[in-house]
Order: sequence, then structure tokens, then C-alpha cells
Amino acid sequence: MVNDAASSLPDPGATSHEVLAHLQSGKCTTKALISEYLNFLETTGKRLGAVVEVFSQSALQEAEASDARRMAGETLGVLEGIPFTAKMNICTEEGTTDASSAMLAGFEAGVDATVVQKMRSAGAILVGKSSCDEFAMGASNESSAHGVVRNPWDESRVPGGSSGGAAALAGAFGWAIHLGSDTGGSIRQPAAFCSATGMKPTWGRVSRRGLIAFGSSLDQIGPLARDAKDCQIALEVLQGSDPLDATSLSFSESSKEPIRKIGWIRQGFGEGIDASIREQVEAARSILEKDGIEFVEVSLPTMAQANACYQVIATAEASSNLARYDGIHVGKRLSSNDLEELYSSSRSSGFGAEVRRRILLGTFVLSSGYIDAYYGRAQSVRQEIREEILSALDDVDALMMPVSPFAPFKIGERIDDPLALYACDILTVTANLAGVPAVAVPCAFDNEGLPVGMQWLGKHGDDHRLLQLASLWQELNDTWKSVPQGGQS
Amino acid sequence: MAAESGMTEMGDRPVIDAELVRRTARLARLEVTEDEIPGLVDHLEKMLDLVEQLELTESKTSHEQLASARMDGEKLSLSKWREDVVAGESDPGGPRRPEKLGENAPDWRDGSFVTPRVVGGD
Amino acid sequence: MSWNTVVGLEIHAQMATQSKMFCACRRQAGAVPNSNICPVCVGWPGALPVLQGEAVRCAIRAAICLGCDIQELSRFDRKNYFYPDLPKGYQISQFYHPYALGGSIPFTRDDGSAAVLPLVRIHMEEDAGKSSHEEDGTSRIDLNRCSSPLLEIVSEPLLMSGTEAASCVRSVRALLRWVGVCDGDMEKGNLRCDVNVSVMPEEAVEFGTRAELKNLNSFVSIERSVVVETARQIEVIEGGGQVVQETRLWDQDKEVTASMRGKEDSPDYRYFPEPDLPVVWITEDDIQQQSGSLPEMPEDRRQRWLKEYDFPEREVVPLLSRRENGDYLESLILEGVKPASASNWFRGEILKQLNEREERIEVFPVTAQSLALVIKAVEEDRISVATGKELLQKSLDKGSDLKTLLESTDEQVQDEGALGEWVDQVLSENEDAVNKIRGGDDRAIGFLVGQVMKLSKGQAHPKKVQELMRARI
Repeated sequence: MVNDAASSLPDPGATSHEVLAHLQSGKCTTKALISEYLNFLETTGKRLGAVVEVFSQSALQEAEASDARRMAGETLGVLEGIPFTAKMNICTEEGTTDASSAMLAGFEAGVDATVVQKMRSAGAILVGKSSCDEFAMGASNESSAHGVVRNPWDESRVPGGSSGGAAALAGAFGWAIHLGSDTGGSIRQPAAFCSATGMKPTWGRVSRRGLIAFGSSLDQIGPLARDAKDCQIALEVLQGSDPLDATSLSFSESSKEPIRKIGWIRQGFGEGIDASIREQVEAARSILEKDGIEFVEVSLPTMAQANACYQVIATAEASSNLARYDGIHVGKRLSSNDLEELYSSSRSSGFGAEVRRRILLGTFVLSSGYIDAYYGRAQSVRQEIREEILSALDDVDALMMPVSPFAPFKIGERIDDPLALYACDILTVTANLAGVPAVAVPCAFDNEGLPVGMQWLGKHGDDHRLLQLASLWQELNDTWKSVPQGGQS
Repeated sequence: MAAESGMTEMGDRPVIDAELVRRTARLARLEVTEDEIPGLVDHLEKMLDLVEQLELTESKTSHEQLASARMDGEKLSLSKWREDVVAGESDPGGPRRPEKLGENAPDWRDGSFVTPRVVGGD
Repeated sequence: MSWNTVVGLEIHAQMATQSKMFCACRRQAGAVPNSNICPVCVGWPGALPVLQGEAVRCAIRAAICLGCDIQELSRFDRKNYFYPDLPKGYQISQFYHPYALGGSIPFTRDDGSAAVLPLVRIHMEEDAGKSSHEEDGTSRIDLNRCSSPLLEIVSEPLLMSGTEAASCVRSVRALLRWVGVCDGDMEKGNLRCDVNVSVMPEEAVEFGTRAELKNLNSFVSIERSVVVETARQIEVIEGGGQVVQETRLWDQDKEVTASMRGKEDSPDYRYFPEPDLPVVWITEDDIQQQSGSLPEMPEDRRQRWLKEYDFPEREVVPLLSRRENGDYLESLILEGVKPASASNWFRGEILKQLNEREERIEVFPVTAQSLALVIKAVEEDRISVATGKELLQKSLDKGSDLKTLLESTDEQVQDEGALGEWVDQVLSENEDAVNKIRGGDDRAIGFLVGQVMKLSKGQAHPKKVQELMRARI
């Protein structure tokens, strides 16, 4: 076997597909690879607060088994030997799944989510669980019961959220696939903040079974990784209808042709979007234009209402989804001889402030006397947003805009102002409301050296076409290749 | 069947006060302390300012919209639904053993979930 | 003043599927608590409901029987409330778009006339679990029933008495059992009923304020609670008070209704579309298919039997209460038994045995085929009725095959020579009785025939014995 394992390991910024080739050529063993990745998690991963649990023992055992399979010439999975992590709100047989909430402290699901099963079947090796905002509610990863997560490019700044742990890992180091979830931008916004590639698939393309629900009609599991090709391989593995999720479906692309015509969303570059972000994304447009991609201006006026619409629908669904944490069947309990008191004291002590705020708003917008004016109206606007997006996509192959209106901010900067945090989502929630796929890619670094991301939205089912476009971008521009100095272990 | 609802126009914006916060918290089974209430009133106020942006441009009323939501979405014919078959212990979908399901419950005794005395019920 | 009672029904019928509505756990009453539960019905984080098709097929059959308008598209909604037997904190139900609208329940008025109770709708929903109270001040929660498939049949309000309300529920139960949709055991809780009661002066046109009586689980409680609640409301109004719209509980032992909610706010269920389930799509083909799979309905069977078998009306009615009973009876006829004796045997012997054994005909150990052999033997005078019944009893007691028992039974002796010897012997041993008969007192003849039967160990043909006896006396 390989004696000097370290010297033959892939580069820290290598993609999963490069690592696959590396393993295939016998330059290192899976065990050496996984061992080094575990080392990264234990040092950098933990320092950043990005990883909550590391499954060293089982991961090394699986790596050995994978090496044995490779030696024996057995059929190997498409992600054979590739390390992967699951967000703390995705159930795994091993370890705990607490959605980064005190409410679920120590909850052992005892079963893998469908996506985790699929990754394992493809030969990938579960190495740990990544931190996230409590119940995936947040855009800064400051509301996790496991502490703040730091941005690998500037550790005084937030990594974005709610899949902040996954994005910090993907931004800091290569090799792995990270499973995140995106309800209003929770994959794309942290990917943009950490200079990773992340995708939110078409709603229903990937099974939600085993994902701790936040806003079910918006939630979607997706991959975060180094580049679009990694995401593409991961999505091939993750997608498909699941008998345990009645809303999961098999999709096909609307066309086999690559994307050549992109709609430039005027509202994505207007008021509230930092100039430096606008400039970087405009520069990216010029690069793509030089390659022959055609751009047309499109206007999506209802996007102005998207965030309000999202706040109502996401919190309404959350208020219902989180009702199950009642101190009786699962979750934390504060003992009481009175049932009503048990309910409210258990729920109040188990949920953090942000989660409680959202449950309160969600309960209010559904309550008698207000449901039509708030929830009903939001449903109506959601329908309009969806129709507007789909009609815009009749004329173009994809739509383009920045991911975040501003660069990664300092830890603590917005924590006392919930509405300032909600502003992070204004450009991302549209894809969730319309159920369409969206891919976020590193676009550039601003003059402070902070990552800037951009995103494309496509028609329902056009996930792979979007990833193809993202791959083209990543051939034309190598921003995504950078690895932060502190990120190397 | 019509939901009971009085308010359909955005014009009659509700007054957000301590009582509304308390009532909503009770409905959500959340405890709110008197200290927290002003902050929550303020938060709800701001959120409703944001939500006021929602304009109804469709001809349908918001109640009709609520009723018809998702009706044009994915529909599943009878043959696509699950078959009426009882799963075995090892079937996918997680543990089917009561002791395993009880392990994560706060109070599980003699094969049952335990709560303070439940009033009513059957 | 004269008052009328207005009654509306909400009938909850658990559908007779193998597995639960939204998960693959066994649907089973009376199992060890929490022995049929999984992450879905316990509401574990990450678990998702998946509807099963057979429940929808059952629901379609129920809607056909009750004459409802089945909707091509229907949707599930979440009904949100906290209760320990509801682990998700919401019940998956159909609120905005139920799968069936309209329809009616046929029932019999107290005066014997036929009537119908119009329906508003039927919707599908999941059942909740059960809580039981312990002496230590706690409650134990059993989630076995959680997520079992339910139909909720909601009627319009109608002028009705308590007995008529019970008659409606009986009618629904009979229909749902008939088509195999619901077992209809009220004592097991798979058929339950909420009753809305209001009163109005006889000449009034507007309904009064209603009270909702929850979870009535017997016909007696439906009937009595309507009567008692009517009286209570009249008393309230005549005493100058007003009836409050509220939920009340029926106390079977004390025969009173009591207000259920005290300080608690009126419930606010916050119904909204269930995002975890696609829209239910029922095509015309699906309806045709279920329609085609329905058994002959009770009314059709009644008409046919009256015509084909010439049954008296009073015999037919009890035979229609359960489809399987009629199926058994009809199998006897198909095996060659005369309709009249099939009916006599069924209403007499079989129903008696089923009652004693607390058993349903589906699991009755004697097949119609073998029983038909016995009844035919009786019809053909090869054995006596008494012997036939004894054979049936013996077969049931010892679990032995009825056909074998029949084959090893001596047929009745009809030979006049053999019978004559027994008759002569009895006559000579009972001179007193013979003299009485000769003196015009005919009652003793029965006694003498009985003596012959005893002597012959039941093998003598009683009719022939009597004939011979009369000839000789």
C-alpha cells in the first residue's frame, strides 16, 4: 500500500470528482483520505464551529471496507470513498439529530434519511454532522445550540445560514459533499458567503424524508460542494421519487440543449443591493457574454413582495411543523402536574428566541380572523410569483441575480435585529416560493477579500441544465478554486 | 366549507397589543413573560409592516385563494398511492419497535407515553 | 309551548383497511398499547405521511352507497390543536376540499315511514390515539389508533327524534358494513358519533342554537342523549335563559349532558393545506371500478328475495342486517335447500348459534355446503328435525365434520313393519293413555309418540308413528 500517504493525498481544494480519479488511480487509499479528512474536521472544522459530531470510527471502518472492495475489483459506487456530511436537521442512524435545538438535544433518529441512505449506497462515507441555525431558521448561523459558526474567509464574520456549517466546511476545504437544506436560501446564501457551490433542487426532486421540517412546501435538501460538477454527481445520487415521501417525483429536463439565453432580473440589482455585489455580478455577466451567452433584461415586479410572502408561509408552516415538540412524544420536557403548563413551559424552554418569534408569527397569520388577510393573501401572492417566474422562463433558459444583497457581516452585527437578518433572504426566497431549482456559485471576492456569490434560477426540472451552466462559468472563471489560508489543516 | 373569518381587507389592520401576543402565545402553547411582551409586540408590528406589502391583484378573494392553494399542484391518482400492506419490523421508514420509539420520549413507562392527567378525551 | 328537536350528525367511521392511512403500521383494535406504532404515527421529526390507495377506495364505496357527489380533486388540510393523543400537534383532515359532497342517509321515521337525512359532505381524515387515566394522577397515551383511516360523515340538521337519530346511525352502519368499508363495532370505537342538538318552537322556521354532544358510542346513548339534551334546552329557554353553542359530554350512567369547555377559548384549528401530500385525484374510472365491485345492495336483495323466494317481509328484514348472513343463507339455497327451510334454519339455528358463540358468520365453522346436506336430509324425511339440530350441535361442540357425522347417522325408520313393533309395544305398556284417547282425550297421543321415539332412539319417523298409532287405537 501507500507508505507516504500524506504526500500522495489530493490538494486541499480538490473537488470530489478529482478525488474520485485520485482514488481510482491508486495514488492514495480511501482510508488515508478519510483519515486526513477527519483530521480536518477535528481541527479546522471544530475551530470554525462548523462540525458538531465527527464519526471517526465508523468512517474509518467504512473506508477500509471501501478499499477492500476496490482491491477485490467489485463494482464501486459513483461516489465511492468520498466523504460526506449531513446537516444537523437531516436524520442519521448514527449520532444525534437535534436541528441544533435544545428542544431535541440527544434525539437519536436511529434511521438514515433517504438522502443519507442514497449517499451511502453510492459509496460515500458519512464523516460527521454539520451545524446549522436552530431548526434551520436563520441566515447567520448564530442561533445554533452548538454555538456560532465562523466564516473560513474571515473568522470574525458569519458563514451565512442556515446551512452555515456545511458551507464553511465546503468553503474551507475540498474533497467532500455536504448535504444542506434550503427553505428560503439556506443552501445558497451560506454557499455565497463561504465561496462554495450550492444548489437548491426543484421542490420534490429530492426526498425530504428524514429532514426535520421547517416550511414543508419550501424545504428542499441539496448539495454544497467545491464546484458544480460535484453538485451534479451528488444530485444524480440524491434525486428520484421516494415511496416514503409522497411529494417526491422524478423530473426530466425541459431540454437537452445547454443554456444560452439568460434573463437578467432587474429587481435583483436594485435598491438594497450593495454596489460592490452588483458590480461583481455585472462583471460576471460580461465574461459570460464574451462566451456567447445572450442576456435579456427581465422584470419580476412581484419579487418585491417575495420576502413578505415567504415570512408568512414559512412561519405558518413552521408553527404547525413544530407543534410536535410538545414535551410528550419527543423533545424536551419541563415536568408539571398540569398538562397545559407542561406544554408551554417545555416548549418555551426548548425553543430559542428566533424560533419562538417565528412560531408566534406563524400562529398569528393562521389564526381565526386573520388567516384570510395574511395567510390567504400570501398564498395568492405566491401563486403570482410562481406564474411570473414561469412566464419569464418561457422566453429565457435561466434567470440570474446575486445571492445575497451584501457581503458576509460580522458575528453579532445583526443578531439583535431580526428584520435585518430577514433581509438576507430577499433574493433567495423567490426560488423556494416558485419551487424552481437554483444554483449558487462563487462569483468573485470583493475588495475586502470577502466572497460574492451569484445564482441562476431555472424551470422546474432544469436542475442539471443549471449545473451545466454553472460548470461553464467555472471553466471561464476560477474564483471557486481559491481556498482560504486558515482553511488548510 | 367556509372558514370563520371576519377580516378580508388589509385596511382593517389589527391592533397589535399585549393581549393579542398573549392570546397567540396561548394558542401556540408558548410561555411569554411580561418582560418579553413589549419586544414581541414590536416585532409583530414590524412584521405586519412588512407583510402589508402583500397586494391582492387577482380577482379571487384571499379566502378563495387560501381554499384553492395547491389544488393546481401535483395530483396523484389512486394507483400511485401506497398499497395497503402492513410493514415488517425491518421495512424502511424507521424503527417499529415501541421501546425504540419510547427511548426519545421524555416520560415512557410500561410501554406508554406518560402525561399529567388529561381532561376530556375518550 | 310545543317544541321540535333538530338533530345533525357527524359520524366517524374507521375504514377496514389492513394498514393505517398514512403509514404501514397494522390497524388493529385491542392490541397491546403502542405495539403498532412507527415514526410516522408517533410524529417523529423527519417522518412524512404517505396516503394508501385502499382507504381512498373504501371512501369511494362509502360515497357511492350514500349517493354523494364524488369530487375529482380533493385535498388534505392540517387541523392544528394540542392534545396528548395527537402527537404531531395537528390532524390530517379534509377541510376546504372534501372528496364527497351531498348524499343522504335513508332511515325509518318513528311512525314507520321511510325518510332520508341529507348529507353535507364526507371527508377522509386520520384517527387520533387514546388516553387512559391512572390512579397516580397521570394519563397513559396509546398511539395504536393514531393515523387509522377515518371517514367523517356530516349531515344537515333535520327535525328528528332520538330514536330516529339512532336509526340514521344504524342505517349508515348497516350500509358501511354491507360494502366492507367499516366493521361498525361501536363498542370497539370504530364507529363513533357526535350529535348536534337544538330545539325550536313548533311554528318557528329558524333553528335554535345547537349544542354538540361528543363521542357517543352506542345507539342507546345517541337516542337518550338527544332526549335528555332536548329536555335540558327546553328547560333553559322556558326558564328565560339562552342555549349556549358549546360542546357537551354525555354521561351514560347519570343520563345528563355536561359542558366540556370551561375557561378554554373556543378552538381555533388554523386549517391550512397539508404540504406533505399531493392532491387526491379520483377519476371517473376509479368510481366505475368501485361501483362495479360493490355487492348487491340491501334494497335490491330485499326486492329480489321477496320475488324469487317468496319470503314474508318480516323474515327478510332481519336477514338484511349483515350482507354475509344473507350470503350464507343464499349459499344454502344454491346447494338445493328450499328457500323456506333455509330461512327457518338460518333465523332459528344459525343466528342462535352465532349469538351463543359470539361469532360472525364469516368464521362460523360449519360450511353452508355441509349444513345444506343436513337440511336436505330433513326435508327428505331421512332424518328428523331434532336429529338435524343435534348433528349441528355435535359438530360445533366437538369440532367434527358435519358431513361425516351425517353419513354415520342412521336414517329414520319408515318401514311399517319395524315401526309397527315399536308401536305395539308402547300401546301395550300404556293402557291408561290408550283408554284416554279412546275416551276422546287426544292429548295423550303426543306422549305415546314420544315413547316410541325414545324406544327407537330417535330413529322412528314421528309422523308415520302417529298414523300407525291412530289406525291401531
